[in-house]
Amino acid sequence: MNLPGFVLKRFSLALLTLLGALIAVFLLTRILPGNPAKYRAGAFAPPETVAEIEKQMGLDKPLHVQFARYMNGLLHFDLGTSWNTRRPVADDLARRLPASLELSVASFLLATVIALPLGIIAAVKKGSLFDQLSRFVTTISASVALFWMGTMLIYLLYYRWQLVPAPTGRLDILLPAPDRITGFYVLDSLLTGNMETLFSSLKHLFLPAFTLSIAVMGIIVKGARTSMLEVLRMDYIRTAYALGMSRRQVVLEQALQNALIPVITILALVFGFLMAGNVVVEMLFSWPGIGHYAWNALLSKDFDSVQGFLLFVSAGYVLLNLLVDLTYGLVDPRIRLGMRGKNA
Amino acid sequence: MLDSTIARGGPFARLSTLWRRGLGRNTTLAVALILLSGILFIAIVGPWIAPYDPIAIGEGDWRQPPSREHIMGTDNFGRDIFSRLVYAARLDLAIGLAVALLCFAAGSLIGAFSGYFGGRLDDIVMRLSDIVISFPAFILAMGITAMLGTEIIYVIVAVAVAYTPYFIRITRSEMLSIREMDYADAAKVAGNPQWRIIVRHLMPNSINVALVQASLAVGWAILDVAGLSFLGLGIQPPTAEWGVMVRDGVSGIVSEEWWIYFFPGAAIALTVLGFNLLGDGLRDLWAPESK
Repeated sequence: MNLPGFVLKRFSLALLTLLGALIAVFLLTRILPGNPAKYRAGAFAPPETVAEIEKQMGLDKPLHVQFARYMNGLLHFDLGTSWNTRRPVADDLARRLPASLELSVASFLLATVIALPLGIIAAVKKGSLFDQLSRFVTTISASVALFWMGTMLIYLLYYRWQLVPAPTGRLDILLPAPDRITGFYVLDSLLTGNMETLFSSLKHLFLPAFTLSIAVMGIIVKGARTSMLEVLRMDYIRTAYALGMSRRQVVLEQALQNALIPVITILALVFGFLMAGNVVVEMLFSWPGIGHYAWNALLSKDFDSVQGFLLFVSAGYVLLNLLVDLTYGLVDPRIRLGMRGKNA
Repeated sequence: MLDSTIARGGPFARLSTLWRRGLGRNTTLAVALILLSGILFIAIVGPWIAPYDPIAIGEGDWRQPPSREHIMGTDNFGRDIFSRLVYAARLDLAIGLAVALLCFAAGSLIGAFSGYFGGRLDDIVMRLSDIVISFPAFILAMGITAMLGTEIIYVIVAVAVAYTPYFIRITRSEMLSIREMDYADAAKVAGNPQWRIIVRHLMPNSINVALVQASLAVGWAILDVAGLSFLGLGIQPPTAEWGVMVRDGVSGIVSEEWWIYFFPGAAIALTVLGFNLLGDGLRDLWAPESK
């Protein structure tokens, strides 16, 4: 397949999936039996009150009318109004997004810095102590409940050893937030040269970010190891050895860059785990991001907010997948030529 | 006759030769089986070994640290943690297995038919899976339980829905290569109806990968259900469930009484570890080249 054809195909598939996800969210929030109007009215509300609220929420209209309204709203970036905050859901999400992004990016960097070298070295020294260590990290990461890990880390690092501040948000309680430029407190503090908030935000960021990074460390170790092993088996590596290059040269100059390409493909997976982990970690650390928001919304059946969150996550996932596919297809022509299966 | 030769290659026949092929050499599998049989044993005999009632509120012994009377201590309501832990093992294992079974059954059947027939059917199935997969599994399950309700059966369905597409994909891709094999043609020539070719002749050979996936899925399901319950969106208190129990210990986020959340969380970790190792061990056994 030529390049424009490949891009077009991927693009239309992503669009189709996105449309499907929109419909799925619509169905999920309207068809399933939990009636939000009833929930809102309270358990002992008379049916007239429920009907009144249903009317307010537009739930009394036929399904296709509701769907048309919903799609029309989406086209105007209107995700409805949150019952909890009484503000537009899109605004709420946008305001809270930087907190979640800051947390996710920090965990991603932390996880990558630890896991990527571990996976690479594990592959190079297959069967060694390092390899065992990498297997240990992967297994722990896959077997331990994030909410438990977080709780224990808070207990040890905050309560017992006083190494980190209390899990109560992004800054010391009395400290005002830095002027908003990006919404990333660490960046904003740096840009405004506010050292006090910089240190405070870094201290507050560390433990939640580390907790969250555990969720994705295993995937990255495994991805890097598998990919490196595959590259090391290739003919050109054997040739490089045969030409008398040292192992160090072969690994760093020949194998590494090719091994890193397939690692891109796990990025979407990582995003998914980070998003799911965000809900738990933000709840544990009172982190004012979209995960915390979604948790509140889910508990109180704040219908529009739940819908907005699901749409946001799914759209992010689809877009990231598209991006990964396109990048991958560009970097490795074999993909777009269909010479390798997607799971190869 | 054809059936029997194919069945011999199936996973269950292989399980019988497991010991001879050296379970001892497959340490992962051996550790997994020992760990899991221990947990399963505790779950089965639970009601007989639990010294206290898991739900009834204890008298005055609130938040007692581990002692001779309460080997894992007591929680905020004076309930014996060990007793609750043991009862929860039944529930969590049952939920995990139910989810994995649902995913396995639905996913491998749909995947097999979709892969075998290809064409329009396959396109539709794949697009639908893409849509479900476009939500991270935990988040989808969260959305579903929030809307459906938190009865145990809904929690099971919610998690199963989220993981089924992974089974569909994996079985389908196996089927794509298996259907090109000579014995698939042989079965066809012998005059078998198509469903029979798929179910009797081809699926037994695609089922290994799905079984590996299933044993991993038990672990994911236990983690997700505990996570949902921890967030208040899954199993509800006072039911004895590991996630609920951790949640009980986290009142006010920081609490000195570490034993309230430590033991249930450790139980989750050990159980999930068992199923992860089982999955890895089975994979090593059936597809050693992927090691």
